[in-house]
Amino acid sequence: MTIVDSARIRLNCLSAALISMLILSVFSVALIAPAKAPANITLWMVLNSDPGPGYYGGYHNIAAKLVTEFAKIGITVQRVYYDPGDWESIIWGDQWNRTGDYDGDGVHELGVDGWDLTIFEWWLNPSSYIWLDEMAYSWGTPPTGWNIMSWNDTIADDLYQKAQTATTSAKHTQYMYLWQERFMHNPPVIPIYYANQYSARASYLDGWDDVAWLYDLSQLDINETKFNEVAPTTPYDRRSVGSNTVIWAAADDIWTLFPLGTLTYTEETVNVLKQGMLYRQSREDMTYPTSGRFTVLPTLAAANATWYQKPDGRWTARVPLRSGLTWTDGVEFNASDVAYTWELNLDNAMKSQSYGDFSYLIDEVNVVDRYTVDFVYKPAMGPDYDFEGYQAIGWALGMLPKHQLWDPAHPKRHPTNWSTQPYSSDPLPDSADGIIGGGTKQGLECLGPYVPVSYTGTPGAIETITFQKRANFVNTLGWSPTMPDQFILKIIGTATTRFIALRNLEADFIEYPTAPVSDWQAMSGWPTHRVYTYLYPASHPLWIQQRNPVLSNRYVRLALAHAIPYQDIFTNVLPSWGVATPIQGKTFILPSHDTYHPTLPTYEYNIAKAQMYMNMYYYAKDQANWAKGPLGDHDFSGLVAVPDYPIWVNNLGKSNVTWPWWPSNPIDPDNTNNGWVELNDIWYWGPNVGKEYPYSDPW
Amino acid sequence: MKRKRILSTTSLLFALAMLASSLVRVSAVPESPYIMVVPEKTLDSALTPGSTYTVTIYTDYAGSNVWSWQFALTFNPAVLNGTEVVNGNLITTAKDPSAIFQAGVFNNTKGTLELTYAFFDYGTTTSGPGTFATVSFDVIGYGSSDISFMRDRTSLLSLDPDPIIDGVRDYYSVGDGFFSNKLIGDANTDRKVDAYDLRKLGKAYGSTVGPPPSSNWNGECDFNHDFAINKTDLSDLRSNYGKSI
Repeated sequence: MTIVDSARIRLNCLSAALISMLILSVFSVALIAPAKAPANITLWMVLNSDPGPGYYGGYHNIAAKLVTEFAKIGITVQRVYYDPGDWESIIWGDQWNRTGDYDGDGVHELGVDGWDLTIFEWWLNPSSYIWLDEMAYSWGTPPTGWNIMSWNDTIADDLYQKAQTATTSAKHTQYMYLWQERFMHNPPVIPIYYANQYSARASYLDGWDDVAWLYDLSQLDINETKFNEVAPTTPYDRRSVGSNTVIWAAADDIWTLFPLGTLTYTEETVNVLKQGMLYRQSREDMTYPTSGRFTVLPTLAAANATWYQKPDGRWTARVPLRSGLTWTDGVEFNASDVAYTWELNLDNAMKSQSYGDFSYLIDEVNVVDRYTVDFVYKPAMGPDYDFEGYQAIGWALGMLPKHQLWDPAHPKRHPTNWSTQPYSSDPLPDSADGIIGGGTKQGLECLGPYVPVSYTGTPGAIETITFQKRANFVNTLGWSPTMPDQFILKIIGTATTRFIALRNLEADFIEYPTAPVSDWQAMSGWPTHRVYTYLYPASHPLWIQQRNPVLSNRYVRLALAHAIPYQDIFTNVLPSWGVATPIQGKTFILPSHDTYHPTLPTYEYNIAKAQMYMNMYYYAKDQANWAKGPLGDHDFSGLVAVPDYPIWVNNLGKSNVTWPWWPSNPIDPDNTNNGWVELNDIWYWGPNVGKEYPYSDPW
Repeated sequence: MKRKRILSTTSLLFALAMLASSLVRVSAVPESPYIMVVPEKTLDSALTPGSTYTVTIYTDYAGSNVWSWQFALTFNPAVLNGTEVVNGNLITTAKDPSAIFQAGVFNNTKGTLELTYAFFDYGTTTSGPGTFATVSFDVIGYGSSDISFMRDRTSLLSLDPDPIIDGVRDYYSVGDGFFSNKLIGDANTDRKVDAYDLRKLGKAYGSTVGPPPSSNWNGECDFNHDFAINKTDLSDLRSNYGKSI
């Protein structure tokens, strides 16, 4: 039956329904659920107990301010702190889909769906939209993607899809503009700020960029003259380590060294260094930040991809690979390694962290010849001009040695239980002891610019790793011969200790340099350091879980957006965390990005407006006071328009009477708030066509 | 009473119009199926103040499931003043007595036409292509005017939840119009084409509307209204150089 047929039948039934309504209306007063007073709403904010590693901005302090402000609009926020591992698991890990009783004690302690609110940063990589794609789409919920908010907006999906498959840059940008408008109209998160962030590195270190990061070490260099001038001998004897070694202090523990399991930036670092990437985001021409994007250059690939369509219509990116590269055991790198790496990545059973980044996009990866691979896209996808950008990040999807991992006992010849295998915890290549397939060193064979040669700590609890430059890689790719011979990675988990390590030059640069603005400014004249600010390429949102029915209502989310004291946070919180001049957030798109919507207004801190949005929610939910509500906005789009009319038709005759045989759920469009959707209600629609609630500005 | 309500929402509509205008206009040929202003551009210096200018809102959609349409427009009130909206041939009482047409309301201070829509009784549909309406303006000034849709309130609807054409989601399926009674080549709107115009053109030369627009983009120099300022515009200016009206 078509919708039209269905509608006609409905109209035929309408008369009977209306007659029934007239009869029943005599009894209806007693049957209508009484209007409810707005109930106090409790939301559970689940926070990482450690706001330091990896997190600019003092989220605990921001959370405290939100508790105060949200209380003003009738929302109680309960803060719950978990250590980083548990927090991550609750937010998007194994327990992402957990509801109610988190710790299994029978007490419903975490709201409706495990978490309601949280705060953490999210990157938009300046070489592609990776990490935004699977965040943006409605279907991108874990494990397929990163839409941990359960944001469900088909209009936004449509706009985003059109942007990503646009055939011209202008169309791409236009649809991204429209997507950003939609985002702020129906916000999945409330981006609070973008950070102009203080950072520093040793003044003798050249060729380093905080954003291009370890993906491009091709110009990394220690200026020996400068080193001899300023490298300290006390309190840390940097000179004794030498000018041919660069030292990097990372923030996170290493849980696994298997690239598919990459979860922390430290693990990403190790993967980039030792496994190698097809492409890299390059700092060579420094188009960022002027363009907001990095140039992407081939690394293990020999050139950019060329696109063609298979006979079945699927778009395919053909990637040529470099020849002459070998793994650390001497075996040649070729197309079968790439295809095998991607076969594992696209197999959900392998539990790859980047499965969600690519599974919606790439169907299969096939060997064409010894040095050529085809990335075959899903039928609805591509050609995608971000292809190389995706490959340049991939959450450090470094290449895997097929010859080492191929398991004949596995039905798909995949490695079994990689998390418990020696290569998951042992940094040193298996061949390092000269005994391939045995001995004591059983880590992955390496292909990247550096190879681990020693470490301190134990597998599973690594403290430092010393890497040696690989001549085969550097020479074959033509990278700068000035790259230091050694690279020492130190894990320093505490932000303060890490900052001190930088200040004392125990490390030449550090991950997540976090210190008050005043501390950075005090260092700015030192000859030992180069102190600077840069736009950190992440947004810092309040995350909102929309599986909670309260938060699925966009009016509540807009209420939260208007109850955040932005300027107060910027002035009184962020400077303590090294954020010099924050920019108020809009969406995940960064101000530096070429598709950032420059004229899109930000949300304003306005408790009265926030309360108005809450009133609209109460109306929609409880019919508490129809005068406050969006009369005629039957689809809750915020605008009374023609599409609201058929919604009224489809709900005619419904009531909130709870008799089992009566059609229920009449909340809207019951514009008269009498418990019935009837003819009278449509008179409140017509005169309001064109109205948008509640204010005349966009949000 | 109706007018009062409308006035109370003008600031909203103006804000939305401004937001919409921050986006770049769609080029002349929208993607089918489309809704567009016909003619999509009029460059006629004979349309002096006192003339009447009429456009049609047209869709090429050929399906048989058309139930309703709606649109709203913005224009430059210093050049055009809206006078009348007449129902087109797509949704009419001749097709079905249930058809309801709302002509909408002009605001000739802000330069808007809003609340224009038509629909059948629920369950009745018709076939396209056809015209939504004709919109008439008095020409009151010398200059140019985009005739742009407010995209979040422009759509062609069936009885399905998803519109047939949605002004936002199908951005490139909605084609705006353009009117100019300026002498071609008159970039600074002083009624003559001279070295001052050439200088303006020189500054804007090579720019495109984007998005994002080139930093030197100046729509007043886009004489042929093709959203790029290039040798064609230079040729246009040259052909009228020295003329005035």
